[in-house]
Order: sequence, then structure tokens, then C-alpha cells
Amino acid sequence: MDIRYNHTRDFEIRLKEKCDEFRMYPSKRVWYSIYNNIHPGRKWPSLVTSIILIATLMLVGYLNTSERITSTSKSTDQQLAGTSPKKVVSNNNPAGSILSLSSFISRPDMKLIPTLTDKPVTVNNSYFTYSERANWHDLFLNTIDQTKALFSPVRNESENAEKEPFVISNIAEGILPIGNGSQGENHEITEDLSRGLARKGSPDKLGLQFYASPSLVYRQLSNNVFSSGDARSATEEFGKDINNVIDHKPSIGIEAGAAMHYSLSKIIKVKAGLQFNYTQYSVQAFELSHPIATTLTLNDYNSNTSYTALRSSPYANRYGLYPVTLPNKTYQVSVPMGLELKLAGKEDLQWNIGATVQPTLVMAGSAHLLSSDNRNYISESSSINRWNLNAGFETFISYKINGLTWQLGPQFRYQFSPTYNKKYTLDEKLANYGLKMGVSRILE
Amino acid sequence: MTEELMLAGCLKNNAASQQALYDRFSPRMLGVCYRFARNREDAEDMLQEAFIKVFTQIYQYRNEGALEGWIRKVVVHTCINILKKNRKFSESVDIMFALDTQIREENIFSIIQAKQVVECIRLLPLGYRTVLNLYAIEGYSHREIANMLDIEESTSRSQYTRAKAMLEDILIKKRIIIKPREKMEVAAAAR
Repeated sequence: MDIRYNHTRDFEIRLKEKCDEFRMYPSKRVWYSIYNNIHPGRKWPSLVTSIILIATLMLVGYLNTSERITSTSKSTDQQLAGTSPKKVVSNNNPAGSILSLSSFISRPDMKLIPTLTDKPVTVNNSYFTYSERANWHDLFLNTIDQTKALFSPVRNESENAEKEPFVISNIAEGILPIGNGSQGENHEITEDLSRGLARKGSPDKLGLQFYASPSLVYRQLSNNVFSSGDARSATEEFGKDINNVIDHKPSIGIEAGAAMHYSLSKIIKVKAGLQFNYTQYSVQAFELSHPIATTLTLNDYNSNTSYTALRSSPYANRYGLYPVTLPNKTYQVSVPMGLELKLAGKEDLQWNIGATVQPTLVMAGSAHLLSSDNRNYISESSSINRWNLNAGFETFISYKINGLTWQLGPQFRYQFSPTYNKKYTLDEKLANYGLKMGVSRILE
Repeated sequence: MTEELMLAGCLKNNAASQQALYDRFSPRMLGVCYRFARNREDAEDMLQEAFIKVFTQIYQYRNEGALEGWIRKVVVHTCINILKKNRKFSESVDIMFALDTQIREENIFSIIQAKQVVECIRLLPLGYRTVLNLYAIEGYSHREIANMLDIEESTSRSQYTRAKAMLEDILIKKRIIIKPREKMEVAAAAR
């Protein structure tokens, strides 16, 4: 180019012409950020889809659990044959013995009524009304040797006055006499008795957990280059492990989310949830006074060779104007799915282990890649893989108090796929070591 | 898609039209941002913020002049606002920085001539570079520059003079421009 050195406006004119010819192509994340900003309702469609899928799974699990409770209640109701009066007095019998009714009233003048809603039983010409849903047929099906019963007449039609309580000498283990409880030891059983019996044998299975896990993020680099002839020259030159060539330090990351867990048995639970992750580690570099031209080694999968691409870099690996810390970070959403196993303990205090597989969507991030000669850092966030797969392993102590279960324990999270796409000749895998804190509650 | 169609679509907040407009103008606008920014990442951040303003304030475009000119104005103002957030444009600071600036001749490398010139502009200290960009390339007057940067008009003039001299010096060192006397000597030697 030949700009004439001129004291007139020619200099500015030519300068403007040259600058207007200059083009730079932005990375895709710029458009995604603009789009998400101006269309906030439409962002992350894949995340919405994942949420819908998880919600569907949870609903199916919850409905299955609810149906079992309902059907159990019905069958229990049939067995109880209407044992849900407002107030039922038992004579020294626990609630559970309702199911084991085994006696009959031996008074000959007692009439046996197969089903009874409002039908009275006449005893000595007195009318006694019982629980509207009492099923005398069931009550007298089984017999035991010694029974006691206490019936209080509700009214006497003939005399229009209350009779004295009528005592039946033998009462079934499970017969619940209706009366004022004036004789013997009586235990009041409230109306939620049947509900409680219906619940017996069907423990709460579905739970909701919230958790957070601050962690330290480490990374491991390895070579992923096709031909040694085009390989990273500094690696051969230095002859060292690539992880020792650069100065990088772990930083604080965090995982936080919510999960639903379903108990398959007393010791095994399956769980699925939604988790947000932030990973970061720091690279120590030096800022240069101006960007310099450098090259980046990339893989060509068509020809199975590697090649170098021109880039500019304002950062140096070892020497520069002043030190600077370059953050390499990602913002992720993952769907952890896995199992929890109880190793030891009782209901309140337990020791558990767990493992999950976490398909992960990387929503955003920043990346500084090492140049071909390992002397500079190139900012290239578009090289980050959008999808990844992680696995989590944890062990924790859980303590239940006031209906909430608190959990605390170490967690390890490992990334299976490389952070960057396969064109880049260095593979990076991240490993997080953290402390997981959570609280969960059984959903009734 | 024509500019009229893009504009009509953007006014209706149509995503396809917005993307078409972005794809058409973003390469040049990123070049504008790059001349103001410290590095590519900062330039992309400026571009992002500028285009968000473009799309949210597109209704303010009155068809007075080219759409590109209006977008460029928004981009330049966005760049200046971001720079102003981070530092003040004081003469003394720039002079000190200018003295420390070292140019590594062996490291400047670019294939395209336009990029050469832009990279040379980016070698200038921030204050000099900003005034030079605004006056010589974007066409603002010193009064307008003074209002934008919260400096005196005389400061803008003096900074531009120094910036121009420094840039000429850089361009000469890089052999991008040739001094007239030197050119005559070369021509004479060739004869």
C-alpha cells in the first residue's frame, strides 16, 4: 500500500478507506447472546424440552405412587367395613386389631345384621344404633373365646330414654364397641385411622431434594494430534508433559440443582433432576503491549492430518508486559440420573453413596487455547463443545429431623468428553472435587 | 433480503430479519469495535451491546441517510460509552502510556493491508486511538468528540495531532507508507 505522505486531508481519507475495508467475523456466541437478550421467552428450547421430560417422569412416578395408596385404602376400607366413625372407642385394643375381628356377640337375643347402615340392632327391645358404616356381618365372622363389648344405647324407642349401658361379656379382639367409654380401658381412635391403616405397608416413596456443591475444578490436558510432523513443535522442543508447560490453577466452581428421588426399596433409590453447573480454572499468562500473529494447530478429519491456522494473540505464556489471569469457564445445565444406596444406619441417621450420569448442555463459556508453539494464548470460545457427558460420585451422611433430611458429604464429578471440539489438538478433561450439601423432603 | 425488508421485519421484531441484518453488518461493525477495543473479546462484547441497542431502538431510524450509517453511529457511541466506563481520557495518562509503548517490528504480521493499518492504529494509546478513530475515520468534529469524551475541545485537537504523528511514525517504520523525500531518493536511485 502506498499512502502518500501529505499534510492535507488525504491522509485521513486514505486511512478511512483502508479501515472501512477491514472486516472481522464475530463468533456465534455473540449472536446467541443478542438473540437471547431480545427474545427472552424463546431461549434455551432444549432446556425447556428437558424440563418437560423430567416433569413427565416425575408425574408418572407420583401418579403410580398415588394409585397404590388409593387402591390400598379401598381394600382396607372394605376390610374395615366402615370403621371410620367420628369416634370409636376400643376396649383395650390397638387400632391395628380392627383388621382381625374375631368374635361375635353371644347374646342370643342379639340379631345379626349382615350389613348395616342405619339399621338398628335390637337388644332387649331396645334399639341401638352403631356406626353408619358398620358391617356386622364382618364383625361376627370370626370368633374368639373371650370377648368383651360395650354398647351404649343411643335411644330407646319404647321408653324414649336412654337405657343403661349394655355390656357384652366377650368382645372380639378387634370389635370396636361404640359408647361413652365408661368401662375398661378405652382408646380413642380418631377418624384418620383408616387412612393410617391404608398407609401401613406403603411407605412414602417420592421425595424432593435441593442441593448445592461448591467445588475445586481441575483440568488435565492431553495431545490429540494426527501426524507428528505437524505436531505441536514446542512439545517436542520442550520434551515435557503439556500440563507442565503451562501455568494453570484450579478455581472454584459450583453445582446446584433439584432432584426427585423414588425409593425402589428400603436401601435403593433412583433419582433424576436438573442441575446448573459453573466450572472455572485459571491460566496464568502475560499481556503483550499489542497483539501478535501466531498459529493454532488444528485437525483435519477429511485428510487425517493436522494443519496450522493463522490467529492473533495479545497474551503470552511466559513473558510479557504484565501478568494477567485468564479465566476458562463454562456455564452448564445437566440432567443427573442415577442411584442412591444406603450403606448403614437407621431412619434418622444414615450413610449413603450415590452415582449419577449427567448429560450436559454447555450454554456459554470462555476459552483460551494454547498456540502451536505453546508461547501464546488465543481466545476462541467457539471451540467449546456444546454437549458433554459427566458422571458424579458421592457419599454422604444424612440426618432426618422435623420432616427434613439434611445431607452432607464429598462429591466427585468427572467429564468424559473433551471440553473443546475435536478440531483442536489438545484434549481437556475437567474434574471437580466438592462438598455437597442438600436437604430433602418426602412428598406425601 | 433487501434493506427495506430487513428493516420492516426488524420493526416487527422478526428474528429472521434481525439475523439477516446482523449477518450483513456485523463483520464491518466488529472491525469498527476492534479499533476501539483492547482485544477481540472486548470488541465482541461491544458489538453485542451495540446490536442489542440497534434492535431495541430500530424504531428511531428515520430513513435519514443509509441504515449502515445509523448502525455505525450506534456502534461508535456504544464503544465510547463502554470505554468511558473503564477509564477517563486524560492527556497525562496517555502521554505516560505512549512513552512506554514499544513496538515489536518482528511480531506485526498480517496478510490483508487493511488489517495492517488497523493493527497499527491499535498500537496507539487508548486516548490517542479513540480521538483518531472518531475524527479521522468516523468523521466527528473536535467539538463533538469533546462532548462525547468529556474533555476540552483543545485537548481533542492536541491528542489528534499527537496521534496522527505517532501513527505516521508507525506506518513508516512498518514500510506501509513512504515519506515523499524517501520516495524521491528511491526513484532517483532506480534511474
